[in-house]
Amino acid sequence: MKASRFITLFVAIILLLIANLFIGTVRIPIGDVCRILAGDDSNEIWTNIIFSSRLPQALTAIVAGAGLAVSGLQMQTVFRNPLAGPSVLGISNGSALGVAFVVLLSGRIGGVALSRLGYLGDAAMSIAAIIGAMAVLSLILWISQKVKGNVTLLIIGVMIGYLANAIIGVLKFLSPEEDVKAFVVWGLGSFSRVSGDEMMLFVCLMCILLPLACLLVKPMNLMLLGDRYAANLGLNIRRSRMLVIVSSGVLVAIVTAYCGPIMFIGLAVPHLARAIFRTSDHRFLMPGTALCGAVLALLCNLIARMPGFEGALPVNSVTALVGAPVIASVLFRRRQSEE
Amino acid sequence: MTKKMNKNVFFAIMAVLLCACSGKNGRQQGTEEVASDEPLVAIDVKYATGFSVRDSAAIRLVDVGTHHHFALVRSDETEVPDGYEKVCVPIRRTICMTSLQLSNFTALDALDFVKGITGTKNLFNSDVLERASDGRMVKIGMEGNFDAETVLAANPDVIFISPSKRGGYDAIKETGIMLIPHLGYQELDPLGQAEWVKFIGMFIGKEREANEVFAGIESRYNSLKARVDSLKARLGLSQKTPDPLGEDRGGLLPTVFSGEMHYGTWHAVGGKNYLAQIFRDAGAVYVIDDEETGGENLEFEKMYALAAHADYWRILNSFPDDFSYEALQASEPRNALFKAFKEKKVIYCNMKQQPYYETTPVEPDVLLKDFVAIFHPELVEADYHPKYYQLLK
Repeated sequence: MKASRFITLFVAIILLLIANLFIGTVRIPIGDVCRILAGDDSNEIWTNIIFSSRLPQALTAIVAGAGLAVSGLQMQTVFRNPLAGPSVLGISNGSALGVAFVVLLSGRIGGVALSRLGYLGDAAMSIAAIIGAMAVLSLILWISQKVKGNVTLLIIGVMIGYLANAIIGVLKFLSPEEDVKAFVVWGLGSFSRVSGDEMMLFVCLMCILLPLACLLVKPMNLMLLGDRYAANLGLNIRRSRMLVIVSSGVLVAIVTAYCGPIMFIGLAVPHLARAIFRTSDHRFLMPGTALCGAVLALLCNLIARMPGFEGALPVNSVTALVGAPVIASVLFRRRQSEE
Repeated sequence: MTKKMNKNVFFAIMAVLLCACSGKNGRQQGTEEVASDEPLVAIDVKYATGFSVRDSAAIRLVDVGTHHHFALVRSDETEVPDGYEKVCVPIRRTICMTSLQLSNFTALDALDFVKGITGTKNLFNSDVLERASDGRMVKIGMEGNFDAETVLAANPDVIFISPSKRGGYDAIKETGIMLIPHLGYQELDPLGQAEWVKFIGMFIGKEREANEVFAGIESRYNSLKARVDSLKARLGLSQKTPDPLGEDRGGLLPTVFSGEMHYGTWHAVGGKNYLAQIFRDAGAVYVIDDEETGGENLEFEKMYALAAHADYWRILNSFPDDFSYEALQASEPRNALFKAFKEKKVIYCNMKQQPYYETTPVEPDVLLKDFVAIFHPELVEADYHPKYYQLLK
């Protein structure tokens, strides 16, 4: 039963990947796309569009969607809170703060070195985003060693998020309009930012991190039972909590670095996966969530690039516009069938 | 002692407030009136679409856009028609909100009129910087959040504003200072934008100078454009604007595209934009042929499909050092796919090194010449040194 659902999701990913290669803002006849995929590179422009634009974008969407979804699931399990998501501990705000420093302060503070990084744009922003996220993550980890309760940690995480946002607010206020716009555009999220070697690096990193995250399914299953019960079963709560937070935080940090803050997937996809697989067993839920995340991200990427939209739709809006009704309807149907 | 001090402080604040409140009247009365019987210097608006001028006796009626109507008078007693706001000219003091406006004052050698600017970041003009540092020009803060006290202290007769921007003008309006929109940024014709120098000229009593400055720009621009047109005629193309998929299928004219990819989106300009017009006037074909007048955000694949084989690529940015093809590729690896990149035909201007927005509004002829020197070098003198744009080395 569960195997068939996995197969369905796999097939959905393959079909959506193909659709992402065939459909884009530039109309390329289906026959030509097939010929190009078969190795015919007589039309240089179309070949480049498919291999240098559409394919990297689709691959980025797959791994980013999977990464965010898994990260969301981890947070929801650690905090036993269905509203938790990758952004709940302020890690994505940390990324945003890092980027804000590069984009908004380039050329002001830090002099030439920083502003040169600022221009070399996307690579510098990825580095800044990772540094920002890791700084917040380290802070959270340090605090997690000091405080006992999950709720306290959650509240402190949210506070750190507010603090980062406040600093970003001040930076935005002090910055010229065009810089603020650049930062706002970054905040809209995009799967099309990464290309070339950077994309390969991103995909490789995610291919390492996602299986690593799956190694944590056992402690995550125990965490569901509650701290005391899990401790009685021999789980080192603090250590496990720290490992899951690190795994989740690193996933968010890397995705945010390459694609900007993408909000909706991490929060909503775990619910979708729970509804589809009807289990809270992370052995199924973890890979299921990753696949659902990839499917949703591919679907959103496809819709955002439909001819006529001209790439004008930001991914963040599409993920929520498309994802919210899909997820709500799945949850609604499940509730009805339970009744 | 403390009580006395408090009293003094109170009176000082009251005095400042009273001065501020009476500022407007003071300004109006203080405006030196020019002999009102002297005939008005005619202002003939040929290219600009954002303002029009009608003279009736001693009153000059200026319509800015569709909503703003000003009656320029030389005596405060003059009655003005209904629907017009009275402005006593010449004004003595003003504040500029954009570098475009500042360029008009610089061209008229009239920086003495400018008592305030928004800030000095990215400004090159040493005279302006000196005035800002010694306090002759105040910095009123960025748009959307002006320092109302500084504005009042600068005591401007009018403030030229750029209404498309972030706003924050209501607070200034409350103080009773007249706000005058300067719509030069909306002009799609390079000469139309330059013609706004006449608009400023009317307010500061430098109509003659403005006419002269503009006539120079116009004649230089049009004579170069005529040379390009005759080249087009020699190539068998009509002098009207060639469109990318129209008559110039044979590729007789060079093609050009513009902009860069940032954060996943290509920022280009529309086919009816000011820049697109300069490209056409310089004898090139701009690859985007649409009705868009402002900026456009395109996906990479869309831009690549349009511009992969274009001959030239124009880039304007602020790079902290000398820009290079390596830096261009580092910012986006796919940039190397364009023919213009491979053939090293990137036309580049670095705003960190050139006062682009400060001077180009009144130097469209220089911009045009820079482009012509690249697209059709035989049409300019051999030893021409470009001011803004040149091929990236």
